[in-house]
Amino acid sequence: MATNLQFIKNITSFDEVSTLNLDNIFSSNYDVYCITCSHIDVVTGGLYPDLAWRYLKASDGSVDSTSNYDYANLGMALIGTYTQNRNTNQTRFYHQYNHTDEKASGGFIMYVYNPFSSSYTYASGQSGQYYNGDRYQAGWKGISSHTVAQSNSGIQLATGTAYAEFNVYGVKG
Amino acid sequence: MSNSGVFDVNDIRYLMDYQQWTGVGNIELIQTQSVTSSTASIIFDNIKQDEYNIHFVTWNNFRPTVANKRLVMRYFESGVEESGSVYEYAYQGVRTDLVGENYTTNDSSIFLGINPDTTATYADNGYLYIYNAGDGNKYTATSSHSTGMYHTANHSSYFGSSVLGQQSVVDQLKFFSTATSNIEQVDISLYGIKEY
Repeated sequence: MATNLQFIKNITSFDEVSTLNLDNIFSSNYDVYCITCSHIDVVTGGLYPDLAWRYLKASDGSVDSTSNYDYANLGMALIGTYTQNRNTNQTRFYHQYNHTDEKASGGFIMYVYNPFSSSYTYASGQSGQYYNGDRYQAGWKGISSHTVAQSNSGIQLATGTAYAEFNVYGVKG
Repeated sequence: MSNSGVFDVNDIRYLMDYQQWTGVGNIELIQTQSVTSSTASIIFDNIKQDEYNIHFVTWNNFRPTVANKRLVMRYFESGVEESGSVYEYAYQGVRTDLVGENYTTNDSSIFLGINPDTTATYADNGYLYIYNAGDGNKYTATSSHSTGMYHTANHSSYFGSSVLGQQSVVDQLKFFSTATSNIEQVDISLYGIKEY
């Protein structure tokens, strides 16, 4: 079988929400997942306008908001110096920044590694868009780990959106 | 249609008619172009921007004809090459001897990777995502990552992102080398990421 992305699910939200669950996207069918986004209108909440994420437990679908997220990222904005953000034992992680104007939000790709296995879950991501409030180009790259030996079935966007569209793929080896 | 978990031939034909059959995967090759001798540029003139919101590009074994030159990209908007100083990008370069960063708001092309030597053991290899090329209401953006051997024989990587500073429909991609070099060698593949 050819190695490729295999479509799992489209999640589109037309309503203004403070969080958005991408549920039942991880399973035993794939080890690695790709989440893409090129249409998003962020509003308030969470780390607005950064995109904050938390995993959904496979056991009951509830969000894991415990302080078990580590992350590091590099923000490359054409304003001042580049920003390195790194933290351990947080209640969420973030890789991407998004402009509050949808047309300037660009897009991002995030890969999630082994979310469904009962081990730590890792993710990496990258994005390109404008910096908030000013029309300066910005790019981000980041990594994260969820340091709980737990099976996760989904992920929650913990940043408010008025519109968002995600596509989730399994990476077929 | 309901999904019982088993597809018969008619199910597959039905789904293929509606472009919903995912059995062959969702990174769809649009075109591959290769250069094996000095060439000024490579142009992808049918990127199917109406079909894909996100494009994926890979390049392999890029070498310039002049040492210390890098691969860059420029867009065509509605069939017209955009050579103005309208490209904004930022990048971080990591070499075995140096970490550096740079950005600009007014270049005439988008930097993609590192600057290799002309000899065969040097090359730049990478990938690129392009967001919303076909959406005339949005600014086309990219994020990219490459790795290879810098012309001073230091292993290097490059992470970059860009935005085209005007809302337009991007319908062609042009790859070339920074002045005053041609492309000596490269394989570039353009894919679309299928959405549903």
